[in-house]
Amino acid sequence: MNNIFYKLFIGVGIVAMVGLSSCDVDRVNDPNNPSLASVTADASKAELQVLVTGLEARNRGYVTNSAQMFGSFGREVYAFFGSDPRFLNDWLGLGGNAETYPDFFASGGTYVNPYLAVKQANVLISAANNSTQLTTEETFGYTGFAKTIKGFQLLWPLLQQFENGIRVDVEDPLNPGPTLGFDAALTEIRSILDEGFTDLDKAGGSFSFNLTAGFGDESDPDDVLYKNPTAMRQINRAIAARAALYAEDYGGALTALSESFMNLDAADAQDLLEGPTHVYGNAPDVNNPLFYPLDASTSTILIVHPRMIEDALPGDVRVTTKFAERVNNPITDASLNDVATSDPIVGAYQDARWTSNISPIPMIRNEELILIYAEAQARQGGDAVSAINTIRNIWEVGDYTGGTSTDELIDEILFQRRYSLWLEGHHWVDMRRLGRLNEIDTREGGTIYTQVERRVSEIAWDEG
Amino acid sequence: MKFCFTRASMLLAAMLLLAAPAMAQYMVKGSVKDALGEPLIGVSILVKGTTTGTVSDFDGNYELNVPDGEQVAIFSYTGFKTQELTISPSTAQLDIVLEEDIARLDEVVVTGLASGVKRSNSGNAVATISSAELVGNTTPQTVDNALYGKLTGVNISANGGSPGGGVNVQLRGISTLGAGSSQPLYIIDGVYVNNSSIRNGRSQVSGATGGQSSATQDDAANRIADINPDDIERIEVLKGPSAAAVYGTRANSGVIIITTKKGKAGQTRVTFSQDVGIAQGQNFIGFDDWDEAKVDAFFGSPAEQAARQAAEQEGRVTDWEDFFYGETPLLLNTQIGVSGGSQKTQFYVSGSILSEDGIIENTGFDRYSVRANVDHRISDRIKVSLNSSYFKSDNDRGFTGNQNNTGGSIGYALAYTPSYANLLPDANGNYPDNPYFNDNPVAIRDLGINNQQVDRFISAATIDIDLYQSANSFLKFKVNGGVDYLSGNSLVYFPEILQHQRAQANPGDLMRGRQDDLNYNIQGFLNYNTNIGRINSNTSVGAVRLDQRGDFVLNRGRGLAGGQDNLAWATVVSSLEQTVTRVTDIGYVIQEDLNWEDKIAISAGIRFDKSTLNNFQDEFYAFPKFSGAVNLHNFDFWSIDVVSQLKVRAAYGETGGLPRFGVIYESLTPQLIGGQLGGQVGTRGVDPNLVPETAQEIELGIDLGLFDDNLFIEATYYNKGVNDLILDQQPAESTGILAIATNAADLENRGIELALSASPIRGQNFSWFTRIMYWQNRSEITRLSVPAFTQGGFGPSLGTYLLAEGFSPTTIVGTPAGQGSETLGFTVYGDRQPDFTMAWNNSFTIAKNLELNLVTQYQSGGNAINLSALLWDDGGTSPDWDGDDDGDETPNGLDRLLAWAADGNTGVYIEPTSYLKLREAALYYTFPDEIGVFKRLKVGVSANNVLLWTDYGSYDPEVSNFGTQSITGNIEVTPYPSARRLFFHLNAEF
Repeated sequence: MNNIFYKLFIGVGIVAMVGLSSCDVDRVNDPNNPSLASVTADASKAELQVLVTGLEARNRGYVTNSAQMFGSFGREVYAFFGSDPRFLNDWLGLGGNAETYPDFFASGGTYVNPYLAVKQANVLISAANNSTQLTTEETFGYTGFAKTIKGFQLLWPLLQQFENGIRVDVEDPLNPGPTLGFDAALTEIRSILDEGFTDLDKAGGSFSFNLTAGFGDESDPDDVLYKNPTAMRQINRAIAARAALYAEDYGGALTALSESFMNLDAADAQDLLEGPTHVYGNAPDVNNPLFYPLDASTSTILIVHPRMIEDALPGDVRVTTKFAERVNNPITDASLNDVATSDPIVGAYQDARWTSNISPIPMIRNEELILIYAEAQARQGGDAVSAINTIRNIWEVGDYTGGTSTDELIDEILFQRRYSLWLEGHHWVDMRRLGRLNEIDTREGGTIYTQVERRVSEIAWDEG
Repeated sequence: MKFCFTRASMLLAAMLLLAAPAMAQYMVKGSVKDALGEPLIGVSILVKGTTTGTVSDFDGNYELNVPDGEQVAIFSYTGFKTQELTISPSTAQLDIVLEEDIARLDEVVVTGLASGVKRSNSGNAVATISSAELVGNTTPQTVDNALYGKLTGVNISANGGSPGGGVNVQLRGISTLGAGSSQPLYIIDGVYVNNSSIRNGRSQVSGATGGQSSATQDDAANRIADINPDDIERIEVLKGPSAAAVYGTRANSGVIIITTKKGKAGQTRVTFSQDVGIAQGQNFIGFDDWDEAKVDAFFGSPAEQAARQAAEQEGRVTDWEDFFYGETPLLLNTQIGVSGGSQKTQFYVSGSILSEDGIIENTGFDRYSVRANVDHRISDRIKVSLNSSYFKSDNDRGFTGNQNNTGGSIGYALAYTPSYANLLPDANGNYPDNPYFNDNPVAIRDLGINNQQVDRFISAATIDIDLYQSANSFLKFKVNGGVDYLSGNSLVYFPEILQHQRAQANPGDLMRGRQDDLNYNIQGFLNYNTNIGRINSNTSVGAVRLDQRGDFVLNRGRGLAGGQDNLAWATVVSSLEQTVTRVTDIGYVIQEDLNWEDKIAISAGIRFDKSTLNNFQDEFYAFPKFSGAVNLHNFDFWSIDVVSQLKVRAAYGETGGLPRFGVIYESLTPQLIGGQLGGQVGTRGVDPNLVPETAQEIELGIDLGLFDDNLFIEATYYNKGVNDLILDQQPAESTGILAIATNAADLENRGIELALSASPIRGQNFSWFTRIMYWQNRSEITRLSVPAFTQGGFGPSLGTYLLAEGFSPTTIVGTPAGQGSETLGFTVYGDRQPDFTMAWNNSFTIAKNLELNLVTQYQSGGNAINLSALLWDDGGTSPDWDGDDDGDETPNGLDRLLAWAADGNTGVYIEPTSYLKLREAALYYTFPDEIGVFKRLKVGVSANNVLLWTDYGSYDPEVSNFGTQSITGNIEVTPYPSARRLFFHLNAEF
């Protein structure tokens, strides 16, 4: 028997050896992607560049939903997306849907996506601060840019959630800060923008990173470049002016505008377009999400709300350049009828702003700044009319001839904003801040929502 | 790893040297027959305590070489009771009759990786399926969907009717909440086989990328579909951790062990079988007619009325459902097998061609397989086996299911297309635009391609060495290893001329996927068996290693040159994904089995595993097991003759479930913008304390045999708990981290499995075997350390699954919200899992030659989210759309849609899934005598999924838009309808 146990003993040893001991297993790291830790520990400029470009990519995440959903809420468009009845049913609140619900249909684009950009900005800020390979000026360049984008992005979920408020302190995923009310959150956002402004002030004369052509195209001699701290401060102030308008801080808005890239002497449509853009490209880049080939036979398309055509001033160039008639393929949807006449609402016009699926989409532009200027002036009893006329004349609808009381001027500015900033995420927000949601045309029998219900993950986090 | 194999081969060489020569012999001849006098072919005859043996030939005859002196010969045959007879040099002729063993008590079942015991001594309820049960009735398309209704505790649900598989196999309830593998581990001849579903990008091309599920909506088949069911000798199912503990860290969802056919010594046998059949779509909805009133009610538009009249005059009003799903395709299955060999070497060689078209034109499944299994005895002490196989699958699954804004789904488009739509191509082959949807489904069917091809090699090698042998004990060494190499190619193609493509900036869309997967595993075991007094002891120790290497690439091309489906002819080419996978598992096992004269049998073992999928890659996790069986009838005090077997058994075991590849990494994801490549911070966070899921199960049971085991009852109760379930904890979305895999929950599955088998009638002219099975499972989340959440589907308004403490993990909820906070305010509508399932299998033999087999399955309870019905109501095509059952002058379709939309009542589209299915029916006639060259000839007819009774309002209550899912199945979006299959069979042996 000893013999057997001896063999057994030897055998066990051999088996164990075969299986394992002679071939240790190395730790398997992610074979597909760089780790987050590699860029946050002591990042090189090349690694920070990856994060900066990533931030630019995240920065455009809100565009689709702000146009489609905010546009539907404000009846700038109807989303004729035939595959899912909820694009009309839920977004328009048809059939008596008076409220949104948690995780409201297709609403993450103006909530989750902006917060992904905020996360990216926060990682960039901490990576820059942790890097020993940067001068102080260079570090401020990164943080100033990141805070500017962060402030811009935080406005989107705040506009969606409105009085529900949002979280602003979101750096630690398992220990997020409290949900702040609208006013408190807006104050925080404005101070983030101000910090970014201060950082950029200390960032020297140039950035140590590259930005895409969305911040200026070097190959185009006429293009304005925002790729240095000084010019980036003008973008920062443009965003600050928008935030100040939402905070009804008109003096603050005018101050911010004065340091922004606003050009009150705009002479043509091109001048009104001035500002940074989100760039698009073919795959593996992302296509312009708002581009639809003209008059194609499809049941998936954003349709210009008929009132945009009906209410237009004669000769308004905005109408002819932004809207294209679907001559051969007007579209209807069985669930979209005019409740007064029971006739189908015909989708006769589509968005014509984009020449191709790689056209850039503005992030914030001069036309909005001029209209913010006009509104702030009107509120403060200043000269709003000349700014209004700058806009009106460029679009060939003649000088403003109406009354000059604040209310009349606000009416006019609101009208101009509706056409000038069509489908750029403004009209629903404008009507809400001016208390006029009930004036929006609901010919289809839907509901105008005030805000979107808090998301399940946020509710659950607070309750858990 | 190369180094390891080198070591292994050196070791083997050393072992071979230990082999010793054999001794002198005498010969015994005889025949083996069953009770009806039919010869039994392939009966194993072994000299007890030795490795000397033979098998009976075609006429049931055998010749056994026996070592010197008086010995005991063991006659064993699957499905028959084993007999032991004493033989001596004076025994020249020994003819025996084997008795049928309906309870299969003598079958050897797995208890360890290198050891097994007779079922009668097993502490577990181990389920086995023989070749005859698997494929003897009818022709299954894939192995997994041949298991329906044949085992207790196993719920199998097809994801849809697409040809080529796609099946969810769930053993004893829920084993993971979606992070681990929900599918059982498949082992074929000792090789860990790949059962993944390979992405093909169909969901991107058709736009079906929405929804909350982690899985895609590609409708890809799980790759067990590549295996030829006809090659299988036996399937053993280890349903829970108590039986599967020996498989350790990957066995939480159970293990399915497949053994392929082996050659048998003796005359060479050639078997040939040809199946010819047709398939037929079943349970059609019968879309609504569009008469004048209906068009008014739905569209209210004069133009539509005119279109309807025009179609009527031109005679092109069409039942589109019948048009698309009404094909009766040809199904062909040809098998040829050759087996034979000598005492030293046996072989089994087979080839097969399965060719099945689908009920939608341009869909189908072809599979080719070749196999060679060789067993060779190098010496008295060393035996080697080599099993090698090659498979090729070629699968066209077409375009059904979900889509978004493309029209790239026939079923989806049908929901919106009235009967008078003009869809057929003109004489020049131009397809008209479909004004009712994004695309013309006829064009999608005729011009789109959704093809997946897989080439696959699975090879296994085993070496058994008797190191030592004495009268009382033996020591064996066994090395077993193998390779599963899978190479997949997929093509999804929408040509540029399609309506929805023309509406895009770069018309023409193409997705080409390529998968290379390699699994290789090796295990070495020592087995020491000895008798200590009256107790037999078997000790095994061993080590196991598994490596997985994968590389998946998916490329997309858009803007295609006319008719071209090559990436080089695309305007815009992009790499959508490349995923490289590398995994290594290592385990050590030790096990002890004790048997006291078949009265009491005890088994205990423990396995230690580590895996690179774990967060702690070098940490070993222990998986113990313990089981015992007491055969009361074998004790001397037992005196109740009518009770031929009474076994009480108990088993406990633990297994693991590994995190998914990638969840332990916090990474950047690439994104190009404006010509610059950026890194976006990933949305996944990492929990530094993540450990694998562990399951532990207690199983208790009684096996009762009455009347000489002619009536056999098996009753089992189990309680399977799964702890440290990995969940994607969802932090507040505002943090930009959307998921952190964390050990956040425990759940419990309790179930009962009952089976009654009987041979009520056994006569020369008529015999009847029947088996009734009943099983039920209740699952409940017993701990949840993250906030309750919903998962799966398309959001609460369209039905989703609730994960909350105290609820079943498969609870379906929806709007209206505003209910209690324990359900997050949502309304509970039911559970995906059934209340109970029953199966009733019968087989009749009439006048020896005529056989009738029926497999019936009944499922009671369960719910599914029927979004097809929502789409049909929305598009006006539901069969009763313009009826008015409640007399409120609003059509039914609109009533339902409004109840869903306006009242926010998701329940309108959540439906019960109870069903009764006649899964298999088969009638065979075997010719009594040899006919010409045929030694045996058998003809028959059979049907698969032949009848279905259900109140479920669509094609089949077995459905899953998101593919194989642990939790979030049973969501339907206009799937490929299921089909009944009817066959004529010819089986011949010569």
